[in-house]
Amino acid sequence: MHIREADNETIKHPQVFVEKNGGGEQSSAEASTEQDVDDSVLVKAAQQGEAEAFGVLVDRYHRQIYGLAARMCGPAEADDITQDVFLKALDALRRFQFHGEAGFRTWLYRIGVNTAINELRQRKRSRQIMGPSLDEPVLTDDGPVQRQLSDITEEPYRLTAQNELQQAVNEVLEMLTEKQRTALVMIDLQGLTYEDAAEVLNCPLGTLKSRLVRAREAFAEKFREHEPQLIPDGTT
Amino acid sequence: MKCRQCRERMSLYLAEALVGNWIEQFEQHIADCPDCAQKLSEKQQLLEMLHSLSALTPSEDLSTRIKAAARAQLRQPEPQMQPAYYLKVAAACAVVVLAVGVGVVWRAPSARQALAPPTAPAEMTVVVERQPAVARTSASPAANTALAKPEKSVETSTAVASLPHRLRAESAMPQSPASSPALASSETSGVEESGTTESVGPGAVKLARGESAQMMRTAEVRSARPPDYLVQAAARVDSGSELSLARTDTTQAAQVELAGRTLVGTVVANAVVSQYVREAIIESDKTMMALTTSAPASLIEVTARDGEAEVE
Repeated sequence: MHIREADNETIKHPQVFVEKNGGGEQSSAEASTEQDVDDSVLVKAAQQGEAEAFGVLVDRYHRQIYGLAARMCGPAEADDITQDVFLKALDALRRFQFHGEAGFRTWLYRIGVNTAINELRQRKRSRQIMGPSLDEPVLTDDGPVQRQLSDITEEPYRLTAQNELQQAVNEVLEMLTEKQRTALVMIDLQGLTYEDAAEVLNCPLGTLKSRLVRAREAFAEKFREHEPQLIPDGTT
Repeated sequence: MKCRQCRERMSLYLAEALVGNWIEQFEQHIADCPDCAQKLSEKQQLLEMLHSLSALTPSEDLSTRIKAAARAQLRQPEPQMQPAYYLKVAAACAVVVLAVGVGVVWRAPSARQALAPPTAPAEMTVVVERQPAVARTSASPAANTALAKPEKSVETSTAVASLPHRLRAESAMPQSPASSPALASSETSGVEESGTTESVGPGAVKLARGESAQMMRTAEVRSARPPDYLVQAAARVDSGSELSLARTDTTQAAQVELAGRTLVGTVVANAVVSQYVREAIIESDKTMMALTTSAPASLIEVTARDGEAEVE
């Protein structure tokens, strides 16, 4: 399904989201109508327990949340983190903990960032207790190097998506601090505006830009250091 | 603009964080300097490389799986508040009640006098200004009868004030400043007139402002000493602190000097934590900080909040 970026889309037929038995097939007319429904209508319907409405929100935003999770924590865990984010959101919606003060997308991103950061911290703690994971790259003088172990969980669609540059970017992202990584991922890789990213992080715009400046400088330095062969032409 | 300045500001420029006439100067330098223009181009290319990366795509069945899990979650009964939740709420309420109770006891003058730790007298210079005229008077309790003289442009006098005395006098003062004869003559009148109160002393940097919220709104605190003195003073109080001085003023604006540099922002929250501790959260366009003043220790301590205290 096509992803809509806008939070304020035109409300056309909110009544279409009455739950059907088992979430059955919908007509193409209904499906196209779904895309035009405002997030707030879907959120209200989801708060009333309408699975179809929440399903539309999932269709609308799961790729963005997946992208955030994959950049923050790596692709291997991104599916699970994405699912976790949506289930947390649903739980919060049912408890009416979302009041629409921020756009739904912003709110969802905030849950996504917090979930990803929690994941990173859990990993850090488990590394301290159990030692490094075999899935993590080995840091060498020449930069991070993946262990030469086959990963049976890697699926073909992922292998095609993870070209060398994508992997190098993810590896360098891992070297940034949480805050730097979050700012860089949201703005330079996920394409959020400064204002939206500041709202997600609940920080002043100036703070966000300051983090972004530091994040870009740190990223550039580490990227040049570890992946010089991937630097764009003319950049040294 | 010199090349060094230009390169220091490249990342700020690209993040749209450069402000004022720096933008024009920066762009002018880039137009005139091929080396800096090349450096900027390199940074832009790296950013464009990031922006051009295709989005990472999830597995095709991810949304189906999420929706199935959501349906399963929706079929479960409405989440109920657990007993543990009520326990947490009860514990939080108990803490609040306890804190309020302690605060009430602490605010009582007799209790505070009994509990106030002995503090060495701190030399203070209090300056009270009125618009348009300016007058300076003593802050000493003994000298509190010295009236501000608005009809004169500037008049100065200095005295030594014992900080605990001063605080006791302030705490005894109700919301209406005129009801405290001990202070109404100098600080109160100056504060009411949106004047400036200034206090600096060796071994003690103390905000000389009123106690009540009413006076907080109209008091402005600043230092008469140059920043280098204040840096040293802050270092003596807290060797780990880079921050030197904070002030708030009538318009809820806040100015914080960090290692001699100045940040200007807005006070977004004020709270009297206890009789001797005030806290203000200051949000500027660059950072957010918490300002804490602690009277018994005679210090101003500005601590970075969320690790973001930084001055570009």
